[in-house]
Amino acid sequence: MVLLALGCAAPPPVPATAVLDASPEEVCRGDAFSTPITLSAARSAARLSLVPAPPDPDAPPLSFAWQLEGDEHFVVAGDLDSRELTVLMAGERPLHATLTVTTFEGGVAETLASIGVVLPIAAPCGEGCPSGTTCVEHQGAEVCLPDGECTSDEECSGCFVCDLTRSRCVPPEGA
Amino acid sequence: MRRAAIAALAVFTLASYARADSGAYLGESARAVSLADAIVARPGDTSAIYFNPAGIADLERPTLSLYGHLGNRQVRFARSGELGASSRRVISGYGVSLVARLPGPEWLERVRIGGSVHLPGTNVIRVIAPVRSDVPIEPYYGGRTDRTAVTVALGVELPYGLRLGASLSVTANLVAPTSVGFDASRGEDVDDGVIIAQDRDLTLTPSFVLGARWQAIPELAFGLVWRQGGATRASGTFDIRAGSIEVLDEYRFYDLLAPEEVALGVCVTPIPALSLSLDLTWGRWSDYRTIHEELPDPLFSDVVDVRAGAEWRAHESLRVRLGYGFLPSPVPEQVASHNFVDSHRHELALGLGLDLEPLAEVPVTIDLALRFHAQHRQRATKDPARLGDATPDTLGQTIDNLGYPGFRSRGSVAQVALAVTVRLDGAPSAPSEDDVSEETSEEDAGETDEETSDEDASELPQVEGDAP
Repeated sequence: MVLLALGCAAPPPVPATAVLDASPEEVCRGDAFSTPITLSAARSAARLSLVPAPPDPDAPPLSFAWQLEGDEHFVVAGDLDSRELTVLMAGERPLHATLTVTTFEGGVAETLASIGVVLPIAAPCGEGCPSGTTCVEHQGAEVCLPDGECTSDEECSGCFVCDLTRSRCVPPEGA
Repeated sequence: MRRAAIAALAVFTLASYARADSGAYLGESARAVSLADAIVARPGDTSAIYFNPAGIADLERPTLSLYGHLGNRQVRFARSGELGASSRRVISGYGVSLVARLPGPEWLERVRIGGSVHLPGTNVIRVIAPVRSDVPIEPYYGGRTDRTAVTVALGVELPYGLRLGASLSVTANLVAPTSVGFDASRGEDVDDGVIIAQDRDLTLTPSFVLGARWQAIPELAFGLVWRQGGATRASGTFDIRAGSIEVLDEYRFYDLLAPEEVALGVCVTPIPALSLSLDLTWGRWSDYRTIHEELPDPLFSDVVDVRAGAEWRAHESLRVRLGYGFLPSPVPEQVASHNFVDSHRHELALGLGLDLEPLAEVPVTIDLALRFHAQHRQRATKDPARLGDATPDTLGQTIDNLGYPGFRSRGSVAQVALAVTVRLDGAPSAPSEDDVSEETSEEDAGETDEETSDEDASELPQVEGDAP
């Protein structure tokens, strides 16, 4: 949240900078706890910073608090007050991670990031296809499918699978 | 990302100010609160400055009101299949209102002027701009309760029981142009070289209210009022220059305080000790804009609020009041990317008014009110086809919406309001002979003198007590 306010109370402590890096930033729907997701607060800083930078080794340590809600999940490395943690999620809905960073002086900053779920849906050709895709008939409908051939699922992005009979990345059956 | 960056910069520049919640939407005087705001057709008190400025023409004596309110807003939000969480915040505010008759010849004495200042509990301006557009937001109770307003009003007493009035409110906006530069020579650390310069200006936006009140017969009155509504804006520019990097950008935050409204009210007095009022208020919520001044998806709906109030004169110095309102929500089911939290609500209110003048010859009235808003449960199921793609540059549709796959919410407001009203002339005023003769002439010729005195009693402003 951004709060613009004018008032008469004493100014609070100088806020920190909370930086949350998630990798990957999305998983396929139905991931079923198979993709480790790293959530890192390593680039957070004790003071306001326009340029995320490595922490100052001489600065007092920051404290971190993670709040995870949304999709069913497990923390498999680290914990909810560590600088970095790894989670697995079911992939049925987004996982929302809130990071609160507190400085030694009491300055607080909060940031929110969501690990999205990818629905392997091919866009209909209706108004034309974006670059890198071609209008192709698939399962009785004309949809935009990526150009190029594939030989395995790993070569397909967007949670598509490789249709070996056509050597083309397509949405999985039932998507 | 662009908005996120701008919002982040706003944090850098403005986050050092105090943060709290306070209210104007729920900031009426105690008498209005206890009648569920069904006061458009009622003889006015100082709160008429906001609700129907024609009502101030009913005040015979110079009147000063000091009022304050304190409330608790509680809302529970949970995505489908999740436990969710509750949040609370305090809504508070205070104000002062003054109404007086103009001095001079008789025709000028029919004019009343009024002024009122309302301040939220803490902040002069408060605009919450979420970094993400899908953060759950309360359009009904959010920024609307944080209105700093200065209002002046004019009311005119005309023949045949007609009163006309107009008021003008000014609300503050924040303008904060910001420039960010970089001077590498200022220090070894990259942050030491950052220079942020910000100007801040408060600008004023006017909004108007026009109203009429007609006391058709002693037992029946009508009121009609138009309120322009308004919004608080926070805007500015960002001029970011660092070496070869130059970014010029702007932000414009828009926080609705009140929609345009038209209210029609009726007040009946079946017996002298009891008055009943009913108000219908149409609100143009279809004009609602998001904090980034964009149309919501789906659009809001116009609504008609129904409010009813009853006032019973239990004793010459004591009034008991009850109020009820059904306030439909303008927010449709949230099937798309926004997550506006709101639902239909019932308003229940009760209050007491104690006039010390008959008891102790002290020209002071104390009004106390309690109000409760109980909201229906809100349910929303997201339509993935209307959620958009969080990563449009990649294949597939990425969904990261904070309300997906759906949500439910429920909320309430509990509030107490207190007002102290002082008649500044120090002594009750007897109606002038002209007033009496005029009122009498408005009645049917067959009415008795006794009925006339009842009319006087019912028409006297409630805060002033009955003529001894």
